Amino acid sequence: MNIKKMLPFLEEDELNELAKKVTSAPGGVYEDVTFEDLLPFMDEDDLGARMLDEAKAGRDISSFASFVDEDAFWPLLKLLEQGLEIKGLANALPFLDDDEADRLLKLCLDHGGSISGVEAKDLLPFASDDLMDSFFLKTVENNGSFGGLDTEALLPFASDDVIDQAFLLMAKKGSALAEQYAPFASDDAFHQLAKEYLSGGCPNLDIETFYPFMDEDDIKDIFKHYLRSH
Amino acid sequence: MIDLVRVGEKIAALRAERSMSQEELAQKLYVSRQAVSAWEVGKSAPSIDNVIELARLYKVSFEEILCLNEPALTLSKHDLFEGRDRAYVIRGVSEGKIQCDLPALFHECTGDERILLLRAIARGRLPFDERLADKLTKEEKVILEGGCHR
Repeated sequence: MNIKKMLPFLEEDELNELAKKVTSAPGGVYEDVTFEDLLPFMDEDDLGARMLDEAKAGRDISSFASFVDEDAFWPLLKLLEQGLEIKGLANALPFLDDDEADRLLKLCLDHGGSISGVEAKDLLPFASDDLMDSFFLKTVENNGSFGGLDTEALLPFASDDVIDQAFLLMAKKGSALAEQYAPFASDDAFHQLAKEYLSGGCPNLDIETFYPFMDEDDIKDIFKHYLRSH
Repeated sequence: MIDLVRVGEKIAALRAERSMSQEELAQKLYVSRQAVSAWEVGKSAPSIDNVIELARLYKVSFEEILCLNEPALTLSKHDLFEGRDRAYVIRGVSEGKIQCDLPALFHECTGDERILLLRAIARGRLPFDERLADKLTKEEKVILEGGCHR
C-alpha cells in the first residue's frame, strides 16, 4: 500500500497520527512520506500551532509558510519581540498580511535594520507611508545607509515633510548628505534654513552651498547680513 | 532659486566689458582660473565673499551679479535646458513656475530629474499628461502612484 498516494483521502485524525509517526521517524521519513508531503492536507489551525512549536524549537518554518492561516504569523512576531531567532522567516514574507509585514518592518527598524535574517529592505513593498518615512529617517541618522538600503533609494518614496526634516537636520549639522537632499527639499525648508542662519542658530551650516537654492528675498537678506558683519 | 547659467553669463559679460581675461579676474579674487571658468559656465556658484568682491570690482550691486530683480527669461520651446541651469529649470517646472511640454522634457531628463518631476505629479503639484504613461519605467510608475508600498 502506498500511503503517499492516499494522503488526499485521509481523515484529519489519521493525518495527525501519520504526522506524529513521520516526525518521530529517523530522518523524518515514514513509509516514504515526509512532513512536507503532509502539509497540503493538514488543518490550517493545527499547522499554525505546529509552526509555532517548530519556531520555538529553533527549527526552520519555511515549509509551513504557504499552508498556514495568515493569523498564524502573529504569534511568531511575538516570539521575535521576545528576542527569539526564527529560522526561515524570510521565506514567509510573501504570506504575511499588510499589518504583519508592517509590524515586522518596525521590528527590523528597531533592531538595527534586520531581524532573523530579514532585512528592512525586503519589506519595502509592504511598508506603510509612516514606516517608509521612519525607514528613510533611519538611513539619514545612520550616515545614509540602513537595513540594506541607502537614502538615495528611499528618497523617491519619502514624504515631502520627512525630506525637509532630513535636509534641515543634515544642513544644520554641516553634513554633506544635505546636498543630496537639497533638490528634493521644499522652498519652505530653504526659507526656514535662511531664517535660522540669519538668527545665528546654525554655526555648522555651509551657507555657500545652499544660498543658490533659496528664494530672492532670502538671498538678499543673507548677503546684507554678510555685508553688515564684514 | 538662482539660475547659475544666467549668473555665469552675467559674470562673463561684466568681465568682457572690462576686457579682462579669466586669469586676470582669478588673480584679483585670489581664486583659480578654473573656478572663474566654472562660474561662467554655470557649473558652480561663486561664494558669498566672491560675489561681494565681484560687485565691488565691477561697481555693480550683488543683486546684479546674481541676476536678482530681473524678469524671468523666456525659455526655448524646443530645448528648455538650452543655455539654462538644469536644476533651475527642473525646480521651476516641478513647482509649476515654468510651463513646458512635460513628456518632451521628460525624455531629456536624468534619472534624478525624472524622480523630482514624478514626485511633483504624484503630489498634485503638476498635472499628469497621458503621453507620459508610455515613457515610464516600472519603478517610475510606482513613484507616480505615490510610493513603493501597497
